[in-house]
Amino acid sequence: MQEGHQTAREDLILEISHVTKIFPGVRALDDVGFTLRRGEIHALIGENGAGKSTFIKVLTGVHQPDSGTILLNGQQVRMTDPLVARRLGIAAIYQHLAAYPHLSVAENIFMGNEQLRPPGFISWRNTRRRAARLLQSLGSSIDPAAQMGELSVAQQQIVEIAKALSQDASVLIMDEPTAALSLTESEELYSIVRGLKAKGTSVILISHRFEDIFSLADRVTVLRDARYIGTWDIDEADSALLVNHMVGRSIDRFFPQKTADIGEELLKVSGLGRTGFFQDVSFSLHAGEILGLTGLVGAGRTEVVEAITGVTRPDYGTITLMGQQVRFTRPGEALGRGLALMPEDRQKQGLLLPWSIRDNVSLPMLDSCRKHRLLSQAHINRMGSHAIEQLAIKARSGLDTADSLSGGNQQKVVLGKLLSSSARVMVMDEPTKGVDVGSKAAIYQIMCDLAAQGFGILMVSSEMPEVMAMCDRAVIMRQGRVSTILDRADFTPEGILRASMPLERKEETPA
Amino acid sequence: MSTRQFKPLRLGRLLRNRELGLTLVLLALIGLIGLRNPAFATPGNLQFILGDTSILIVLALGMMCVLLVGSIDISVPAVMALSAMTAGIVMKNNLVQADTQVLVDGALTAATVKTSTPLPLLLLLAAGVGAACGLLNGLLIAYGRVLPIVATLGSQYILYGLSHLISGGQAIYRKDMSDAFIQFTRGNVLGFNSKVLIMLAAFLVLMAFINYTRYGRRLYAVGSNAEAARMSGINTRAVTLSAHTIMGLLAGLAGMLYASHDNKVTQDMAMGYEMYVIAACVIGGVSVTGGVGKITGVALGALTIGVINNGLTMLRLTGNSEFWKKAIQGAVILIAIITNVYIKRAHERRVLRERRL
Amino acid sequence: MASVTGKLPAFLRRREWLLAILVLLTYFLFNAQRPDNYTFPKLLNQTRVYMVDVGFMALGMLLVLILGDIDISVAATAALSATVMGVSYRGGEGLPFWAAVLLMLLTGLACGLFNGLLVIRFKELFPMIITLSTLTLYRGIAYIILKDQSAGSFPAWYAKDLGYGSLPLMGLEVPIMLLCLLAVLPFYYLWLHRTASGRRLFAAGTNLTASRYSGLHTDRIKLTAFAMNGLFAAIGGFFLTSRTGSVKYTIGTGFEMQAIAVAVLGGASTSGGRGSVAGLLLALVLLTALKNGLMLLYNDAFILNLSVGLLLILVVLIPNLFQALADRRRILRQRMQLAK
Repeated sequence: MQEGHQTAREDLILEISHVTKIFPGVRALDDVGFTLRRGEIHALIGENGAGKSTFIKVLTGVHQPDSGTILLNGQQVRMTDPLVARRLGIAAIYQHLAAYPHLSVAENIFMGNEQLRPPGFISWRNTRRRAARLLQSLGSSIDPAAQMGELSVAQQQIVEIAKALSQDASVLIMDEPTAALSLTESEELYSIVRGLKAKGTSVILISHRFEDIFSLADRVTVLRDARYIGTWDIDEADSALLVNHMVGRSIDRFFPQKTADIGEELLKVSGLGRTGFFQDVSFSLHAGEILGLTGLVGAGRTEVVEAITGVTRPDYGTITLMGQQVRFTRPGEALGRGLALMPEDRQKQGLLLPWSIRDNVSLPMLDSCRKHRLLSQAHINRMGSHAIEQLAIKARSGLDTADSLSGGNQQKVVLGKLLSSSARVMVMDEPTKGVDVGSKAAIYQIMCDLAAQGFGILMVSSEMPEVMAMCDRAVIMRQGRVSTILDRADFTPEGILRASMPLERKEETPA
Repeated sequence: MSTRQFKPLRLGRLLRNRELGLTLVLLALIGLIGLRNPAFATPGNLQFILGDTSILIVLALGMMCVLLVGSIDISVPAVMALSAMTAGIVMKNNLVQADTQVLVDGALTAATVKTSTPLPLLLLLAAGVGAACGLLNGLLIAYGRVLPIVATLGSQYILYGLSHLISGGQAIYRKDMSDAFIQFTRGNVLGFNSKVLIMLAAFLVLMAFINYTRYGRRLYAVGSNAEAARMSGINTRAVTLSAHTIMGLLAGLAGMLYASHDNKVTQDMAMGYEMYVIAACVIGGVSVTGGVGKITGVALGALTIGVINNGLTMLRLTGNSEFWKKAIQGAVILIAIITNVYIKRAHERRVLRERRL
Repeated sequence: MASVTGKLPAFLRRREWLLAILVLLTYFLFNAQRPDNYTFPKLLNQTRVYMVDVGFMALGMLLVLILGDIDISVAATAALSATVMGVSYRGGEGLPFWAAVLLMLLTGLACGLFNGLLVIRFKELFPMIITLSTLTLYRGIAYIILKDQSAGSFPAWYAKDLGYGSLPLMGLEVPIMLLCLLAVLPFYYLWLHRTASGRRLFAAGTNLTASRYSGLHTDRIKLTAFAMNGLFAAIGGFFLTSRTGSVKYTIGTGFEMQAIAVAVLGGASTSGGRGSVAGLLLALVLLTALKNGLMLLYNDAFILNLSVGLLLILVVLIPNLFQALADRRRILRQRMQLAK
């Protein structure tokens, strides 16, 4: 632990002690300490709600701590607003990209740090030129004049790094930088981060992915319930130890044993295509089967499941659901025929956040909650408590609002909503994205139970371990086409990765 | 990357250039109306249209700032009324009439000269009142967290009521105005109507502000991603506040132009005018959700409305009736906005088709 | 972050209570000023002027506001519908009156449907922009039909009995118009707050995307809300005309803002997902009491509007300020605890 690594004071670029931050009704940080050495990559991990985001915001001056001290290069500093932090050389790349989608790449990089020329006007030529130089130094050929919103997530991430570099940051904070990136994109990011480290930049890396931590970090600190738990050198930590500290208890079996038998064919997709997004996609899904749909972000996976479930309309191809050819114009139709979609973004697409659990769960099935043509509150209550019981949602009652729940429990409410319908095919788009370790295991268990009940599950996932442990077969997509379909016996990380990789790699400029 | 690959990209960007498209539409409109009535496309009439549209452009520039930060202001006409009324009352109270003799056709004729508070002072007063109204709207929206539509709907009622209160129910007519004020929008400087000159000044100042200063760019930043702006140290509330203040200031100025143009200030002056202002912005490519819009586009959007407006009169389709004109105008604006949507959609489809899988 | 509930008395945050208190305050204030002219029976009589037509329009507007949309064309819709009725009846020489009324309702429905179709077909545009243009369109059509003329000479039962008649109820003379509005309210309430389709309207307004993913037919919900809004606008126009006795194309100018004001005062939010029938009724009563009093004291439409605007802003602003204050006090208290 901390005491084991006596570090000379002058080696520390950042030293944080006893920091507490209070929000109305919650302690978001409770007496937290943290040290960052010069030129080190220090991973910060913890479940959702452990206080990581608040920690960063305190460091970048977005929030001011209610007590505690921050020493930068041995000097006590007070970050009264984000501009102060930036001047002190602390830059952050936020989890939900903090980009301006309507503005150009160059302007994004220099927003707040404008390239001025004498009378105080912005020099657009210098802005573009310096942006191009920064991007080149990162080995990227992104056009500085391109509109930010039209770049891929990975490219936006690079622009964000360029932005941090433009401020000559000595401390760089990266919040879940790889969350939306594929393996290859992550690898590219790793090499950029290592390059920064070599130049003496200190990095605080926040991540859910253990691959990130073990391949990059020198030390790792765990936060739990807004408190500091401990710091370890990376060679003395392993994932089991970290998970135990993050969750506060040990998880025996992360991935459950799948016992379901494969039954009849439920869903068959052939030759499906949507102009500009994907083409010629064919696969089938059986009862009791968990079918993975994987590939790099942007390969068209989400677009495929959206076209199947009626969110969008495919331009060609056929969809056969339980023996009948179907084509849905909206998700409601699909749900009515037994095909449910659990969307990727639970906050925007999955839930009515200000509504209670029971109202969320009952929403698709309101017609069945009627008594004398009016809604029966008793019936709705029953549906809510049933979901809470069945899915072990952590809440005081069905009246708790969705936005008061943790990410994992929110995801369970979305599931409960779909289960209240009479679905037999469940399409799950990134079901464990941004979900804490404990809830992840619970969601995996639910998936296995559903499969055992005869559900067919199509799971879109970017997480290689998840695909390999959970799926019976996996459809691997690249560049809008199915590259291969693998059986469980043939799963290897290299095989899946090879099938995902674009045939010719080059960075594309947005049109 | 070969140059051949680059070409369609450039073309795509050119096609998406809204200002170019709008200019073409504008020219086509002028040509078409000119074919039906040759008097329309004469330089004289076009200059008249420019003068006539100046007020709309000035207001649309302000509205653009407000829309950019993701807000809206429907109290614009009420701000115009209150500012013009305040200045009008000051002018009326300080009015001095003097009988003199002026030279008309070589003979001395008796005439009355009306003087009052100097015009620049009046303009400053109106702009100040307008800015104060805008500031108030901005405070309600940015600091009181009242939704923009509700806040400005309420302030529209209040400001119209106030302009009625201070006027004591008396409108300001030509007889209450100084000669300088009456001549204000009729005078020509360097061959341009003074309305056009004021509009040009506002346009240039705002263009420099919005495109070349860091404060101007913050309007875009806040509208594009308010959360990101906040995290990078931009005071989003202050930015919203200043956008509304700019809108108010320009509305105050426009109120004076409107009053001088109409030779009167009534308590319900310019009622309903906000619609044209918002429509000009939308046609000019400003997004109502914030973050998108160019100042040249807004000017062109306002001009398009001006040309349609004037064209409908020139075509004599509508007789002399204001409301006939309004009915058709509503339809035309609707068609313009919808056409705009179809063009955008077609462009998106083309981009999708060109995308390599 | 957990949702915050400060120390502010909970009932004050229920809009309905705030409104009820304001109603009583307004009543006693004006009653003290003008004890002879500002009395409950007289107020009741004035509801025909201030409450019924705007009330019906607000009922429609509430549906659209719950969706998070807005419709500025309601008054124009009412004007066009009334114009159609007046012109087709032609003072007794045209269609029979029932047919003219039917045609009027259909016109309102058609205007609302047109708005709704535009809204769901062109999602890139905003209802605000769309209905701003249909506003001029509808009123323009009314003008084209009617020119500067007015249409009137309606049957006596309509222009007189409905417009000015009242029924004795428990010793009070209650305007028939008001009874019509009050008769509709229970059904409207049950539909909005107690049925599946009412619940779906709230869902769509809270989060349209999530509602669509949850299987709701969001386009149909929107279309229905806009169409019903058109219908309610026509009904509002119907009662407005019975009061004025004749139709001009300018009839009901500015009523859209009043309808929005009533719905927002009653607890609806232009960002959607909120709204209550009880609140709406109380807001209507409050405005009636206030306007009537102001009219007695000042007899000036502008002052009336000024106070409506002020009221609208204050009712929305004050709870916001209280909330901010409560949050701040809460943090201070926690900080003090921390210091100990």
